[in-house]
Amino acid sequence: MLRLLVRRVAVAAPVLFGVTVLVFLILHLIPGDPAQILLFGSRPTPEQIDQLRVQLGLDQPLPLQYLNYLGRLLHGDLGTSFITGRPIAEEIAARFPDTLQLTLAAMFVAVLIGVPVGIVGGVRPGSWADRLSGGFSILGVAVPYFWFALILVLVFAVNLHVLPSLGEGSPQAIVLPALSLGWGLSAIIARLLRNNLVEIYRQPYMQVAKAKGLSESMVLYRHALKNALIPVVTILGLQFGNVLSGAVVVEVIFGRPGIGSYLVQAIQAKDIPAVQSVVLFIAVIYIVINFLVDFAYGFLDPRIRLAWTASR
Amino acid sequence: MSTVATPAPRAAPLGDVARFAAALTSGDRVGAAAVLFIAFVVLVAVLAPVISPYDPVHTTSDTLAAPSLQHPFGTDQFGRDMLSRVIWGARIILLAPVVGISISTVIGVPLGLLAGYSTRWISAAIMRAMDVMLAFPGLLLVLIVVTIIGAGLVNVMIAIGISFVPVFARVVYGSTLAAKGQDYVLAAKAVGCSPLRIIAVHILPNVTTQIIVIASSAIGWAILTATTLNFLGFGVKLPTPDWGADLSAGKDWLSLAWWIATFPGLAITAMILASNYLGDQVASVFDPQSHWRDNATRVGMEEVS
Repeated sequence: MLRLLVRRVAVAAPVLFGVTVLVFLILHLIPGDPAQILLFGSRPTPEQIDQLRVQLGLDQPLPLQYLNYLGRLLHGDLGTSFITGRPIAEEIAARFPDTLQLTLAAMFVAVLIGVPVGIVGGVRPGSWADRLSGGFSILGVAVPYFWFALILVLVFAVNLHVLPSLGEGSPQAIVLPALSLGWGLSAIIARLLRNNLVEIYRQPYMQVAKAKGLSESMVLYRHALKNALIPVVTILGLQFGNVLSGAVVVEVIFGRPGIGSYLVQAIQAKDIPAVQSVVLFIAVIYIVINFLVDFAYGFLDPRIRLAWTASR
Repeated sequence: MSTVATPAPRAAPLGDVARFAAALTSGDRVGAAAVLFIAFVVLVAVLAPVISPYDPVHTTSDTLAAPSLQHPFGTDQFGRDMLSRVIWGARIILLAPVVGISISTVIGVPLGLLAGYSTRWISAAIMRAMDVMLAFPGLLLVLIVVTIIGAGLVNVMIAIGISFVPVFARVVYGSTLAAKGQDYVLAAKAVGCSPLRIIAVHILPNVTTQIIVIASSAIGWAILTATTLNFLGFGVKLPTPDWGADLSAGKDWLSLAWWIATFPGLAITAMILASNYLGDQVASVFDPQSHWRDNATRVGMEEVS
């Protein structure tokens, strides 16, 4: 158990370190003088540029600058955003709850749609219900979520007037953004669950369960679903980062003030410290969640645990 | 057709190309239809100046006109014909995956070969760098590259290419490691072939299949990402006709003119759908037994990695 934890940390830690290096390098990879890039848009005098250069240590060697950057990160100092003039850490703290809410709502929607659609297809492979379920999965992956968002707005906000299309405040305001963001994932879940169920129904223990005289729903819930849902839980964990980064687009469409729309504004305004911080923030969440999924999976499934022990 | 499907480092003789095209359009009916649809879009893109009924950027006073015989897809807020814009937009939608995936191949394949065949330290350095890139969700990585090199259509294509490099490198790395231990490579080493010759002559041909399969399965993702970036305004600048940018423009006119966003949206969906099937077709032509390429499980990057 402890060895497992240590192994997983040993895999995740260098990646985390590398991510901070890459994010740090964003400023230095942009062609031009970093001090000038940071003062973009403010028409700085040469003195101001020199002052900032000394202030941020931009005149020092790169490795030293990186250590300074890391030191500031560990103190929670992410710099000041010039599009809002506030500390970036405060900006992220104020906006992230909104993004998290949207991401979790989208994953909830994905499960709510994906699981029933997957079951319907998996229980009777080859039936018309299975074909509908398959068609849903294929469309779910092909229809871009930003277009799907517009279709939802057109139908529910513009024509039917049942749901608000913009902003937040009322609890209903999250419905359309969550549907747009969760829809692609629901297709992935439906397909995965369907294929798992088809596979599981072929297993001998399912024959036994049926031979015992269990009702069809009993067989499904007690024996099939329990096993078929494990990979779905994993996919949910692994897709969290993708849903979170998809929130970037959905927040822009629906005018939600989360970290995604903040990132887009920051890129447009060349607010590099803000871009660096939001990107790092999302990447760290992504890594931590992957780590937890990986660890939980190995912890729960002895076969995977043993495979790791054998391979290292 | 095969120009889209084979960004292979090795040029196939003409007979092979014909046989490949025949294989692509045989077998699964839906898959064949997808291949033909992409061929149709290629034709539309090439013939855009001839078949486009109007100038796609010419503004007229006939604004926000609903679809009619004169304007089958309607007109936008500047009176531009949407059908002509969709026709011209096909050029960008085809260019983005071709340029993007070519860049991933040109950078990713040598990195993977080098990591697979060189010393432990070089290999570790390359693959850890790839791990770091894969630690970012795909869209985020593209946005990082756009931040560094700036906005614009060409830069978006470069960003898409770079963001897919680690996937190519990983696949080629794995295949190179597998090939390295084979007897024919050991034999080549024993007769004194240089490492470069072993990589080029003995290993590369054996990883080509995987490269083609990865490349074709990446097309749908590249199209989605390119249109996303254009939708966000980081790619083409209006009035250049592009499906993603037009979709974004149509967003503000939903209540007055549903058609501005709808036709580009349909076109993007059809293109992604067809590309996903094309990926499946290519994979089944090269490896009839592969099961990993399930249409619905290929949305992010990690599924192919």
